[in-house]
Amino acid sequence: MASTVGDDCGSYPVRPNVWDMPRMPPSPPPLDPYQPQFDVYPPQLIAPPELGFTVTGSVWAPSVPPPGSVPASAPPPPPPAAPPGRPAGWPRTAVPPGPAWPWPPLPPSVPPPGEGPIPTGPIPTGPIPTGPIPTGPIPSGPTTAGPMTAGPVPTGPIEGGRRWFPPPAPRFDESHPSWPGETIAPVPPPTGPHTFAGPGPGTGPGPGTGPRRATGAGPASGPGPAVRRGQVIESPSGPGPATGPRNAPSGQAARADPGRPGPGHDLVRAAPDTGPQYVEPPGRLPVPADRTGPLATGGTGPHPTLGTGPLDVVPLAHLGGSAVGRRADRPPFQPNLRRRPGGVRRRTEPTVVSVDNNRCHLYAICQQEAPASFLVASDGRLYYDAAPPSQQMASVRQAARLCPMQAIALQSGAR
Amino acid sequence: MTHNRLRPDIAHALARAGRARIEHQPRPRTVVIVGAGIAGLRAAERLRERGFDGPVTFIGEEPHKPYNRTPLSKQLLAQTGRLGDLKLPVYHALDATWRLGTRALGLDVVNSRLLLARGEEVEYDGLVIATGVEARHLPGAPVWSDHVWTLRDMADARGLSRRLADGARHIAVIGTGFIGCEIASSLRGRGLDVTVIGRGDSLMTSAIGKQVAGLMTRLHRNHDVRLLLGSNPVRWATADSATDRPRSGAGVSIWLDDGSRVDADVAVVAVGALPAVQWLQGAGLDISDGVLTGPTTHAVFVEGGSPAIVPSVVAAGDVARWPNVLFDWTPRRVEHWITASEHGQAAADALLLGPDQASAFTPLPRFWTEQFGVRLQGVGRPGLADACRLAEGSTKALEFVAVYTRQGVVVGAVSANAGARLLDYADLIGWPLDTPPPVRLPAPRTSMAAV
Repeated sequence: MASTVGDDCGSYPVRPNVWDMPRMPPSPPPLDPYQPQFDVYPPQLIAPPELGFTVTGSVWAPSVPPPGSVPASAPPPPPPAAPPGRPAGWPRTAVPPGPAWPWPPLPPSVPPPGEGPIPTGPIPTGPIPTGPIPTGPIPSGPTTAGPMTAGPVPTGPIEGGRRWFPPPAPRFDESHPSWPGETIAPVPPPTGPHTFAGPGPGTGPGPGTGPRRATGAGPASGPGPAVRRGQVIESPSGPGPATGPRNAPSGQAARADPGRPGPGHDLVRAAPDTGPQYVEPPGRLPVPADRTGPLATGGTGPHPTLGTGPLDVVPLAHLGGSAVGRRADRPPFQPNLRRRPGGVRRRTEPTVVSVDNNRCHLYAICQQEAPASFLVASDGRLYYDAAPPSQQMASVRQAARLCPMQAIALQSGAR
Repeated sequence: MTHNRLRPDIAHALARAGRARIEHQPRPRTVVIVGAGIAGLRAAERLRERGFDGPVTFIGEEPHKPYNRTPLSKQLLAQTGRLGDLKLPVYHALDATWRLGTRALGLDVVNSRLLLARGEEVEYDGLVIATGVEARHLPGAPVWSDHVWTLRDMADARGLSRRLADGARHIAVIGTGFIGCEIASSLRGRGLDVTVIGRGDSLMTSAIGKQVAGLMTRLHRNHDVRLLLGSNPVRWATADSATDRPRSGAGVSIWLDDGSRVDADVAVVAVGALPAVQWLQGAGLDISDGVLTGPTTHAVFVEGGSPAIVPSVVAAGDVARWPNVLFDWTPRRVEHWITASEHGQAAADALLLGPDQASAFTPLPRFWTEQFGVRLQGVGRPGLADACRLAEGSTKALEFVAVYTRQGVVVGAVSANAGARLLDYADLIGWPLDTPPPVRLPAPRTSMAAV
């Protein structure tokens, strides 16, 4: 970004005059017999059949009518040579066939407690938790596993030896902002006979007073029946305490990072009676030194100001926001829900400001030009914002221009 | 894979339409910047920042693109810096045409044409005059000699450094301004013997007042700079002269008006600068002590009847003489590097906005110098003051802030080794020093970069 004046001299490449060059029509690409061929024509020129006409004439005349109007009398194309592993005559755009009917019964996705097959794998050798054993009546209802729904049995017609499948359901994406993550109680992991699931600290009114609810009915749980992913959990004890904020930090964390376990799983702070093996997480995580400075009083690091315990490590960058430039007098970070976690990245990366300590002679011209980003403190040192917000960049650039010692360097990531 | 190219006939139709569009669009506005210095560079950068997309042409006399002149007398002469320190950052693509080594010879304001060598004429829609200043010569000084130098541009610095590397031991500096004092400091740092010859009784008196100037004079004297103040050179003799050669075998001998003689290997003449306005003679502009401009940096056309503002010609940098209405309405030149940068930016804005829309250029002049490790910097116009007060700090420790007032109103402040403390006093400029300013201070001056 900070180009030097002397850099842009030299010989410029001469661009060819592309307008006067003779254009050759594009040669037809070689056809891949295993690729669908409907994209050789621009799709916008193929009118839908309900319009009753096709776009033909001088503009574009497809030599092949659109698919669907192939007469039955047309001779079928010669079958291409089948590669090894594919049966001859199989449609070229299809996938290899699955197993023949009848299919083997699907294994139940979630075995009921006590009824699932005993796993034949090695018994987990981890330390057995020594917490207090729940003393309430053992719940008898189907708590964690509802009625087994193996999905609709495909009963479509059989066409040409292939079974027609209904179109797949839209992909479930709980990181999508439309998913009401807070209002629905999360579901504990499936508990097998070898899995111990003690009552979490966020369990309902009393230990064992009802069907076991989801562990961690903390601030992230809300009213309503606990429905998630087709499983039903009875909750006769009433709705959980909906005392949490609307955008709880734990919920944000779960949205920001789908790989992170849900808010009810392990993000609840454990009670101190969990046993001696419980390791108290450090309250304050180390803040990188380069993000620390007197300019950013209050929350100086990339971590949220509000104390969320182990959630201090929420990577705000995944939310598309930047933690730099925050001040104590400004509202804390608000995630922008319109910016998806997997969406496009920001167009320009924040410019990195660096000051050469060997050059800087503390004339404080930079503080005069950009008082929001530079500070010559009374201890005789220059403190500066290494990544100033974009609204300060004009003044920071002016400070770099007017620096008497030319000690301020700006480096931009993508520009 | 498919090819998304257009059909050739469609492509040719589009090409025809584009060609017709190019032919019939109006001619782009052209801006010519005379002088490839810091003011011209910042003007071009500001033009591009403002979205000006027409051609920009630099007419520069030096064979270099704009570079930073300020290290020439400091780091480069003291051999603590390198040539790479002269680079200037540019934060916008200039896309300019550089006509370096070209000297402008004349200006036709009425027809908007610039006259170059060999009769070449360059038409412009906007002209930025940023030719800066040239080093002033003493009358009678053998400026042609290899032992007598001035220090203004890179060629001067290179020649002087080459001469100093040729076994020079004793250097005579004529002039007690900022440049002369910086040269003395840099050369003393290299262990050379330095003699400073000047008219006044202290160093840098006109810029920082006699009180602070006395402190700086003592500083130079403590660092074994031989000061011959209150004397003028009246006769010169150089070793490469045909007629007047020094008898002592020195490179240059300088006789002063008090009868004494100074023998030195190299003499550096640093007696100020004159605006480079020779090429504007006959153009109709007021070029007495620089190009006279209005408060909006538009040039004043004085030929014929009453003076008029030229909307297509602006002047920026050391060459411009304009009234800084922050102080008064007297047009003055300001030879400060920071002011030149801001002046170029303001001139570009004024060129784009016109004399009716542009605002007055009212910078706060800021300057700095470093001599013998003392960082002296000032703000405002301390030269206009009639009184000077020590605001804070200690003069013995050379860490202080001095405030300059004119008729009780603060017009400037100078600090030594206290740059951050100076900012508080810069806000006092324009207010009386004794009575506190009103609680409701006026809005601070908006930086042009923040607009």
